[in-house]
Amino acid sequence: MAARKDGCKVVNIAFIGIGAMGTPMALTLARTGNAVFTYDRNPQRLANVEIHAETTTCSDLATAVSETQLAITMTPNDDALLETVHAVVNAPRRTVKIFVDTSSTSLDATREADSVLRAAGITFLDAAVYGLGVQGAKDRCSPIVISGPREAYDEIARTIAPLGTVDYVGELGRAKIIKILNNQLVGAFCVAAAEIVSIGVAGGIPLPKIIESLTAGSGSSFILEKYYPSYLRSGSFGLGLIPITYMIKDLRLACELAQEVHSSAALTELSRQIYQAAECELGDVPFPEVYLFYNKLNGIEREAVTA
Amino acid sequence: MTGPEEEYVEVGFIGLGAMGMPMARNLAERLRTRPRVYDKNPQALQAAAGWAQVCHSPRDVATPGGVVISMLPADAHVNEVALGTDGLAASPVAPFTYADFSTISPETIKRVAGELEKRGVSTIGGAATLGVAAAEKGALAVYVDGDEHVVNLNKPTFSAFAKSIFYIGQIGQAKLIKLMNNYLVALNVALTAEALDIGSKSGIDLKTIVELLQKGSANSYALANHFGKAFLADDIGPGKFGTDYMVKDLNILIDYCRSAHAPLMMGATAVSLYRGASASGYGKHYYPVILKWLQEKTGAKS
Repeated sequence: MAARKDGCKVVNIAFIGIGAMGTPMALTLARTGNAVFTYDRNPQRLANVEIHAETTTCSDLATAVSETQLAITMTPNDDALLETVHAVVNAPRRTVKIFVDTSSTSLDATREADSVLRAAGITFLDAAVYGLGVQGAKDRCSPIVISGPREAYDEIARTIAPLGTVDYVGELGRAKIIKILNNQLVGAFCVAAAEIVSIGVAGGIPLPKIIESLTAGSGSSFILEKYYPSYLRSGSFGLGLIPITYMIKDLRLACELAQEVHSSAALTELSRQIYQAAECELGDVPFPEVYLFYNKLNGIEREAVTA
Repeated sequence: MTGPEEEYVEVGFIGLGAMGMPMARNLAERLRTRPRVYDKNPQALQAAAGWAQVCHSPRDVATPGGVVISMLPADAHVNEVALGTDGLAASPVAPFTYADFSTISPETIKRVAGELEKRGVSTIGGAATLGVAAAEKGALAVYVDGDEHVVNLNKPTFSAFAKSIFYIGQIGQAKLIKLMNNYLVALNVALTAEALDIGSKSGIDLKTIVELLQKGSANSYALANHFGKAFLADDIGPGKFGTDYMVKDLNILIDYCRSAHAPLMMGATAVSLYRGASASGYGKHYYPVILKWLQEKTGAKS
């Protein structure tokens, strides 16, 4: 094994899920001195030029997890995570000792993954990337939280540090909770912004003036400062924003958590229903387009934006 | 910054409350003038006597060709100051300019502007955001509307209390922008309170959640300031912008939306939450107290 610049041994990592987020994350790990073994259910993704050149692509999962002590997943949903967990556990000659899930999955899936992996002698850590999207992952500045057994985290902390700003948040499940709260706020803020911005436009104030004025005030937020200027420039609220049905799923996770811990969450419940109504009207568009739903209610034609 | 050759119009100020007092004092200091001031409360007038010329009615504040600025609690006060028996409409010195920065309904300022116009008074509808701390520093963000030429003439004066001035458009629209801003901060605070209640009941320390969420796409002015600063420091008692004021502002917007035929589903739910907090004894408290109310109402574990 070659020595890394910082004196650590080269770490072999299985990276499972080479999608929009997984690709830059796997590349960052490969470019910071690790031997990365990549796998994806969709073999076409492994044909990505950089992934092909800089990682060891594996045609089956069992191969990837028989070479490595650390497995990292970035999967689209609960089912994909649990399918991967079972495949890892059942892989002959598996060498994986620590399994880190960075996907947007539910607390229930996190708990199930933990119990399955634990029974097989593998330590599970749950992690979440909760902002800045694909560009943040490329720029290695994603905000990341991770939770689970501290000793396991300490073992991998230096390896995963290049992925972004990583915070350890305690017992298993907390990273997913932070991600749920983040998405809850992003989703609900977007409904609130849509409701009020549309009223301003209906009141005859041009959209650029509304955004310029409101971002200078105490009502400002990340979504107002990033999504709306992007919409004004290009007609799109941003790249890689999840569709409404995914946001409804995220808000459902928040509402279920509220149920579990006895919190009322009235506005969060309402925002979820407004997305449902918007989906009926608009279809499965990117979630900030709930703004266009309000514009329809208020009888506003779609703005001519400079595309 | 304005050059030495620039001349300021003579300035008066009505409404020396938490916001108005520092605004008037900044006018005095930065324009090196003694503004004519009026307030119903004699103690407020006395407090300003050292640097201002005290007047005994709104109409006495006006000077020929000057500007009268007001910062008042509600629509009724603006009506009285502008159109009451001793109001600006009764002043014999027109033409002059009236610029009101109170958070009131767009309809009220439109009506006031219409009445005053008949008496030769030009009206600028205004609004200020960022709160008392920014007012003290002369660093408010203000929205203004009305005749753009009149607004431009008065910008150097407004700069004494505002670091940024946004011209919005027709009379009434600056008030609407302000109501929109207050709606957003009310919703951002209430929604953040919901998320923080869920998170803290899930066993994560409140301060940790607030710090972590600021790094991601859920960040907002409310998360960083109302919670990161005020709530975590337990600085949510009376003396700042109270829950009842937020209820008032949201109700103005709900009224506006009724006449505009626009739905305000999130806003109406938020007002009902703030009203609940007020009914539980938090009406005078700083409105991020809504998190404390949620925690108490639903039995916080912490």
